[in-house]
Amino acid sequence: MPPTLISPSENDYILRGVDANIRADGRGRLDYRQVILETGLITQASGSARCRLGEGTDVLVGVKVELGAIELDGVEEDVAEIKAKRGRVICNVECSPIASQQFAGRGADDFNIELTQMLDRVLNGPQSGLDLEKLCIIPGQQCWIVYIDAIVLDYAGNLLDTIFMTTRAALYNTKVPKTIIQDIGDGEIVFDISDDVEGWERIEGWDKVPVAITLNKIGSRHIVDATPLEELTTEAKLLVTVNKNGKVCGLQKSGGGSIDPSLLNEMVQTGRSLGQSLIKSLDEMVRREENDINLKQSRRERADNGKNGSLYSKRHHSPPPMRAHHQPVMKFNADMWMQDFKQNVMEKLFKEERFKAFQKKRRGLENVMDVSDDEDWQEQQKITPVIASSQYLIQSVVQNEWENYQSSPFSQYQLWLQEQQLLYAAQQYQQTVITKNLPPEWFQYRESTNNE
Amino acid sequence: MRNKLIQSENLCWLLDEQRPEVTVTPIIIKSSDKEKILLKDVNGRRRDGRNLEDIRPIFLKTGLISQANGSAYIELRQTKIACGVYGPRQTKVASFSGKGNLNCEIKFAPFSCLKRRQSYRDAQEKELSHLVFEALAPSIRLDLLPKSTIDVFISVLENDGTASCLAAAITCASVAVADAGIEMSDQVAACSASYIDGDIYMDSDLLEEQRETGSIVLSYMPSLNEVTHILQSGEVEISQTTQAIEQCTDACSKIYSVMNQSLLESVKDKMQ
Repeated sequence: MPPTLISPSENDYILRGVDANIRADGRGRLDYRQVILETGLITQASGSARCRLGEGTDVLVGVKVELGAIELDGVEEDVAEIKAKRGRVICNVECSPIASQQFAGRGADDFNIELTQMLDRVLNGPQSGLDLEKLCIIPGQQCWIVYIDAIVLDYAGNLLDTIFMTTRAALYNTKVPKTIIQDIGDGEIVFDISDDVEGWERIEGWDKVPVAITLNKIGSRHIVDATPLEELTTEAKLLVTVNKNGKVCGLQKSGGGSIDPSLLNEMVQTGRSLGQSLIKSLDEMVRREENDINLKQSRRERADNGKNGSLYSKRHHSPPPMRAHHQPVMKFNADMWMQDFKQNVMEKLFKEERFKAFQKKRRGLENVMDVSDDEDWQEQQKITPVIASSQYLIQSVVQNEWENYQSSPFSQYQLWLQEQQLLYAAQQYQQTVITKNLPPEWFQYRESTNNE
Repeated sequence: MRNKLIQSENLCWLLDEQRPEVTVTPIIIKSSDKEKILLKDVNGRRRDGRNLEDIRPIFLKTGLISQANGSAYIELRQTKIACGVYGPRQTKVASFSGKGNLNCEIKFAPFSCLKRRQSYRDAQEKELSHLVFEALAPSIRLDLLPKSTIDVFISVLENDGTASCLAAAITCASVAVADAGIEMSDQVAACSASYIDGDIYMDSDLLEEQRETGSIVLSYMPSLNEVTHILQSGEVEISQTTQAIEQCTDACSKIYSVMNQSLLESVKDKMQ
């Protein structure tokens, strides 16, 4: 949460932008920033993924699969019966101080807990879709524990959605070693973990893991994928988690405002449809990346002739992203706008020219063709001089464009600047007035120094 | 020596005589026996006689704690919750804030649940406290109370289902805040529901909650027609979610009338 305060003018700017379906960075209300997803970055982890949203938010998730004992003490009997056959999932989210100075020390504690709870609430339960029974090795004794650790490396809004996306990709990437179970007899069971590089399997049900869409209510509308400034303008947030089948796996409202029930329903609906399309594109991204890796690996192996079959993929990681810049509040290209303006005017004038030429031609034809008794033509002739007087048209076109210009963010900005300048001038004026009304002897010292 | 041996032999024989003929291992009631309890009968009535969409009868009274600025007590059959509100009073921390602070704390009594609760605050209590805060904050005019804090302490005396407990806590806290005379835009009523086998059980109790596949808690300001908080878990069809939201808002309106009634009574008491 880098910026914590927002000025009223910035607030107003965002509000109006959302109302007009155009945001500061040129997106519409329901547009996502570009998602960049990488998997398999960390060799020490069982699975890892990193996700970036546009140039901003950056989340790294590492999944570690470790052996652990099934804990049954202090659990009621009917729950214990189910628990004995299951592995476990433990989530943790940590905001690294790299992302913001506010995360340093204990500053991020509450925020961490909140994020962890949200992730945990979805992933720890039947709605997560993970087949926990496949993670059990010996019922009642040993199981795999899946530790999901998310680290926030950079923050530029919409953290939770990114965490969920990255977690999903990391779970896809996770390799659980195969186990060989032997029954020695006397009820004793021994198991071996295969150390074969190829001997692994995916976590069953990774594709059913839901993703989250955060809908931010601004004014009477809602947007997705908010930037930090937009998050400050947000009255209420709604987190909608959706899985592949379009089922809602969790709803949670946060933020200080309230939502109308009809709007709430609408938000859930949009969240659901957006979530489903997001899952589709994410799956495609992840699969494409893995195919690439496999292809490269097979090529390398062919080149090596199988002599140096590498144990780990020697994959080059992409360089770290450029330093994240703060997005300018007002992003408006005046030159481009001017070009547009000119083009619009020219286009309309050109049309006007063509219309005039057509009229001339028509008049020329008039001499040949007898249209004196054509009533329609005469009537048209009566009307056209009023409308088609070219000056009037040009005027109207310019007027229109001027109105457009006035409502554009650029001019809004200009107006704001003017206002500020006026305010400044007024302040200056006031100061001069004050100084004039002060007794002159107050300034004697200054004057005498000036004279020297 | 011999005598002694004979004696001990005799003793052995005696003990044998005293032993029972059959031994029986203790009988443990398995969970499969529990599951035989039907949640609803053929007519769609639940174990306590209400329909699926009915909520439990509510007892709500304000002003039970003499020291607090405002207080309330709510009882929904087995769920019993008391709430005390202190403030608005000066914020203890030196930092300035233009808006008032709302501090909500929920505490389960050690004897309130099936298992004994520890006396210190655990993770679940922290989580629930935060949820109560988020549900109440939109209704209270915190912008009118700079530099001050409102403390809302909720203690759960008996817990009959965590979701319904949270809902009751929000309702109770809202009435207590109103009782304290703190300016609010509207009262918050909250209601919970469970999704079980494709049905929506409104205001579910503990046994129903144990068998649910998902749950929803909705807090709602009836006269402003605004939802202040929603929390849903479990995998649910979207049509069911919509239906549940609708039913919950209806139930909240019913709860709202009870809240108004109790506040009216408290005012009448104060007048006398």
